[in-house]
Amino acid sequence: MNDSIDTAAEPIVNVKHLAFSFGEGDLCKQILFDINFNVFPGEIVLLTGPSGSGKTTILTLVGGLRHVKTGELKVLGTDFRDASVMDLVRTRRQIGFIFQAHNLLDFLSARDNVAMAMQLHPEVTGTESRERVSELLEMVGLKDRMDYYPAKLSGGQRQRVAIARALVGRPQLVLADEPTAALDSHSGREVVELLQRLATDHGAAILMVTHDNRVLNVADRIIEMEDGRIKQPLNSP
Amino acid sequence: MRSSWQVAWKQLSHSKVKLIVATAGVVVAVLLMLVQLGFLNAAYDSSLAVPKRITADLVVLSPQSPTFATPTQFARRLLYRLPAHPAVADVQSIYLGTGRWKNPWDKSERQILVYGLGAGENMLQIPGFADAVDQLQQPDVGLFDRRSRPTFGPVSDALSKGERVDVEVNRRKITIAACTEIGVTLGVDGNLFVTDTNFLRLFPRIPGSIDLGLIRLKPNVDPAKARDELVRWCGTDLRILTKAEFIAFEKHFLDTGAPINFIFGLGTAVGFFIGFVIVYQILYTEVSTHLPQFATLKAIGFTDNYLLRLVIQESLILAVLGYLPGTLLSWCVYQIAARETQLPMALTMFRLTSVLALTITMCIFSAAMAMRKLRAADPADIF
Ligand SMILES: Nc1ncnc2c1ncn2[C@@H]1O[C@H](COP(=O)(O)OP(=O)(O)O)[C@@H](O)[C@H]1O
Ligand SMILES: [Mg+2]
Repeated sequence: MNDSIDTAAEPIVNVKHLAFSFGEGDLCKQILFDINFNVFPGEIVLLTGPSGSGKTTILTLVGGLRHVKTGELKVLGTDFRDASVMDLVRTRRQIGFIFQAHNLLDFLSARDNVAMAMQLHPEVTGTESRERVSELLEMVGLKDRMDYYPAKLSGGQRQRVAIARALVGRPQLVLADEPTAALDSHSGREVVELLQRLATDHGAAILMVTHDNRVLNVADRIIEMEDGRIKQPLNSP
Repeated sequence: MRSSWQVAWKQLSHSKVKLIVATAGVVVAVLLMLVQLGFLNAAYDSSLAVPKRITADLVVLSPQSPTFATPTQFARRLLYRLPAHPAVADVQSIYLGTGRWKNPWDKSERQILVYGLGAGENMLQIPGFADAVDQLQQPDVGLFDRRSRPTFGPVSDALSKGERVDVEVNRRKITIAACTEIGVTLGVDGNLFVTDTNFLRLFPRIPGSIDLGLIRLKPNVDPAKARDELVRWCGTDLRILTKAEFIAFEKHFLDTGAPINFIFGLGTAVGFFIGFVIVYQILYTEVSTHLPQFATLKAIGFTDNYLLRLVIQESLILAVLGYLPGTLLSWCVYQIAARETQLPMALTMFRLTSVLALTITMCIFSAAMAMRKLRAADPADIF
């Protein structure tokens, strides 16, 4: 397990009695019930559970992509209950998102796709930002393909560009939704090791949804979901 | 990749075909707008060329004349009464008629506008008329406008070679003494200037009726005041206007009485619309095929404003890309049109900036329409 976890510190993600439902009135369908968990700096937390159990919904809430209606949710020091749209956007800039679909811009090269995310960090100088982009693309093994357009990259390579884009801003929290689902087992393994290295090197916390049994061993903690509730932790810290 | 302009340019230029189509759309729009506005202005400028050559203080027309160019005749004695007023120094009668000109070279017949200038101080400035007045006072002699359409024959060339030019107007032999430079309009292909005596030889009409009267006032008389007093004298028999009012009267006729505003205005609008549709179509496709990507950008912290700016910037890039070649092409069309129609076609700074403004408006308008689709990009849907 990971030595850099500091459970004495403030949690990066703090979820208390969180509930969530889609729709309104008669069509209202509750998806999440009384969710409680914390994520601490440097910690890798996996979310597992059957399809439809609400894992993605939790990620969108923690990522500030949906508004919290019931319960408490604090992410990176921002209380999401009474956060404005701009507060949410500002918090999102400190989060690295890795989606199942990589959604790279087809008109930008790998390098430009990653560099574009640096526009969200105007405080970083141009030179440093260029260095970081190259460094990250090297780290994800795309040193020779930096100027390729997404159309010329394989699925695994595109996913790695997306990971570089998520990490180039040095996020304190990474949210990943089945990042290995579209990859073969070899690239899947690499991606997870990359995320793990990031957590140890930069103290970033990682909250990752996965069904992939092969990656369970990198986790500091596993949260298992069922029907919108957390099952009792298998190995609470 | 530090600026959204770079992203905008890369998105636009990624597909060269799309870029060319969109730019061509703007080029066509710029071309149509500049050419149509050019013709509209040429129509105005040329129609006002003769009125602006009037140096009289007051102008007299029949109240039934919608414009000086298609006049209703009125009795000359009404004009000749006016010098009795202490403010009036002199009057001049002007006759107008459309004659049939037979081109002596190819024997084709054309309509020509013939001006008959009455005796006294000439208050319609026709360059060269005064110099040739001794000849023009001979029977059946005229002064030809060398800016008439070429179909009237190479009159000016022949004269400058020292040849004698005799033509037939209304079946009368007329000798051309010299040429002047006035210019044609959309409705008038050529001009001929003669004395009143020669005019009446060409156009037999009820004796004593004229088409236009010009008044010179005594020095230091206020034209507006004199006009008021003369109007009180004449009642509703005559329309008396100051020079400025006469120009305004002619402009008003062009605005309302002639369809040029509508025709060329419509042409300009069509240009605007074509550009709008093409740019909108391209930007709309760009936005809608990239919705998941744009939603991803929103999710990672780009604001709606950033994406809106991106689309606007793309439209502005297209505006600039299309404006430059569009202007160049229009310049060529102006040269050709000026040569073919003899109309005054000038690419003025004012028109260039107006059309640039129209082009930018058109592109921003297209972008604004295409952006409505952006709202559909929901960052919560991409996980
Ligand atoms: N936008 C939505 N509107 C309505 N229901 C939704 C929406 N998104 C997800 N759901 C429902 O919420 C439940 C949980 O979905 P999700 O969080 O995607 O589960 P998981 O990621 O664990 O498979 C599912 O029953 C799904 O049908
Ligand atoms: Mg899911």
